[in-house]
Amino acid sequence: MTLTGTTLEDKLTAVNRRRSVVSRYLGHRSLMIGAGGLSLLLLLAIFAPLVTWHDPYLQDLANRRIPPIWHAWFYGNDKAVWTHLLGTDPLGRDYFTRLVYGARISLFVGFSVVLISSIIGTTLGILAGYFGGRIDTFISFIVTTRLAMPVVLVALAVVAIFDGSLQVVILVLGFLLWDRFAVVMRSVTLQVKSQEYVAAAKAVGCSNLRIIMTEIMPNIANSLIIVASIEMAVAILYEASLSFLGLGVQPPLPSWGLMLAEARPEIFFAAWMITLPGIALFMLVLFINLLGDGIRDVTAPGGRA
Amino acid sequence: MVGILVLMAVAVITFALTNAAIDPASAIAGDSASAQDIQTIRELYGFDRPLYMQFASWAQDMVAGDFGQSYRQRRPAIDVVLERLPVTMTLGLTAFLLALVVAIPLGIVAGLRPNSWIDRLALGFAVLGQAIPNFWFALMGMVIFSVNLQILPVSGSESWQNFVLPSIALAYYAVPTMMRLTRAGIIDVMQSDYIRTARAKGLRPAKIVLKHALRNAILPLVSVAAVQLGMMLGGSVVIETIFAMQGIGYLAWESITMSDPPVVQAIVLIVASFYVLLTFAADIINAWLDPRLRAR
Repeated sequence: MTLTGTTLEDKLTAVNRRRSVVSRYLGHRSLMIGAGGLSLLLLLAIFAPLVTWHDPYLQDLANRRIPPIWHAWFYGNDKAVWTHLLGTDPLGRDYFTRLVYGARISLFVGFSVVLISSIIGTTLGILAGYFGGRIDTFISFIVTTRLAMPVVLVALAVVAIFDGSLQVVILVLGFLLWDRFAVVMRSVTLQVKSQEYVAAAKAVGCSNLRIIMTEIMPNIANSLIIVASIEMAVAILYEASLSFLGLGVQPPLPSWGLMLAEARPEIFFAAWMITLPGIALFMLVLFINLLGDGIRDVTAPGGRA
Repeated sequence: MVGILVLMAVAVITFALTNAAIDPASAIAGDSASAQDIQTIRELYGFDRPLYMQFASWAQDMVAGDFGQSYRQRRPAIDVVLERLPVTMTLGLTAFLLALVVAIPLGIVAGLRPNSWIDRLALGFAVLGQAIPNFWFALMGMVIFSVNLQILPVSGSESWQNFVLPSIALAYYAVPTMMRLTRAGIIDVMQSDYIRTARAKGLRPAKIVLKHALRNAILPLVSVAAVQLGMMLGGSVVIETIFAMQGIGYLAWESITMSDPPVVQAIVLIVASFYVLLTFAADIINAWLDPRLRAR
């Protein structure tokens, strides 16, 4: 180790480091599965009208409760047809089409809720971590209060007041699910704050706002993405639960939770109607979690809990 | 101290929410009531007073354990809730113990041999398990065990068989988090100096793990487990509703859909006090496990 490293060597290590970051992302199996699966679902959701020619709302009472195509193979059920790949629901709507359009709702809920909750939580977390003292005590109190309130109960009560709709569900969840952002951002901000470059910025006379925007924010971005992935999965599951209970997204929208509720009376005759939306939810949440876990592994190998 | 402040804040929010929800007078009077009836009820119950005065008298009664009359059942809301509590308690405690019994041994085994096949298997199950919505898990359990095999009842809460599926559905969701925390704790602790000393002394590996390592390894688990227990004792609305179990989760859903604010308020505040009490308990347990924390 000499203090006067040649510039060429410095450049080479810099190049190597950048290449190794890219290869760390590409080489991480679960991250690639998560990213790949999620992009596939995103594309399916965005190009839903191109993926399927059926209308998710069109009822066809002559073709109700058609079983999925594999019932023709394994059970010799001649009602199953290729034009309704995954069958039809009790109102004769194509199940595959409703599942594909349902991905739109889940993804939209996931992204919008995280947008709202990350803004609230990150603001509170940074303020608490950066200023400390009384502000920190006060914000910690708000966070504890929020944690003491049962999410499902409060969400149900609010949705009952304003009547269920996509917007209400998103707003309620957005205003309830910011706690993890606040807690994590607070502790990360505390770590960053004690770094020398923050002290340097202070010594130069930068304003608090400038320090937060240019020194703190870029350094907490990784943690923000990781928490966002967790909360997105949580929000999607909560939307499904609320819709399942009848106090979320309302019919005839093809929310996966609502589809499960509509399939519940069919449990004795057509259990596949319950199986399919659940698998869809499972895959979406799994891909988001894998992506989040992967990003955490790559950016903070020691921070796995 | 902070706990009491938190409960007060929760009380204010609950009161504001449920009062914005519905006109209590017309809820009590029913659909066929005339405007005159509603006015009479409004004066009788004191709904014509300003909101802050209503809140003051509500809070005063609440401290004395009186949450008001249930609109639907015409008897004290607290009685309605307490009657439903045993089912939820049984369900919550069973699920919690089940989760601990699965998660801690699995976490220890995985943590002792990081990256071994058993560790990978456990982590794989954790990742898969975390992605399965618990109400779908419950429904699938119903399809398999109640509809196809017909060995477990579909709904109700009369016999022990009714509790099997709901407690598993409630428990499995907590397992991945608890398992990961135990695993991380064990990995961390096994590298510490005092474990090396214990090994050098020639203690049996089982004694090292169970007596020396576990105590420190589960420190982070305690506070998370306390929150999980609080959630389970608060009654899972979704699971109880699916299985039509007569617990407070199902009661909450009924009371919200049939507008019965006093019962909803009572449930929210009881669940919030569980949370406050349990986080307090977690601090005490941690102080007992780790004497270093007592100094603070």
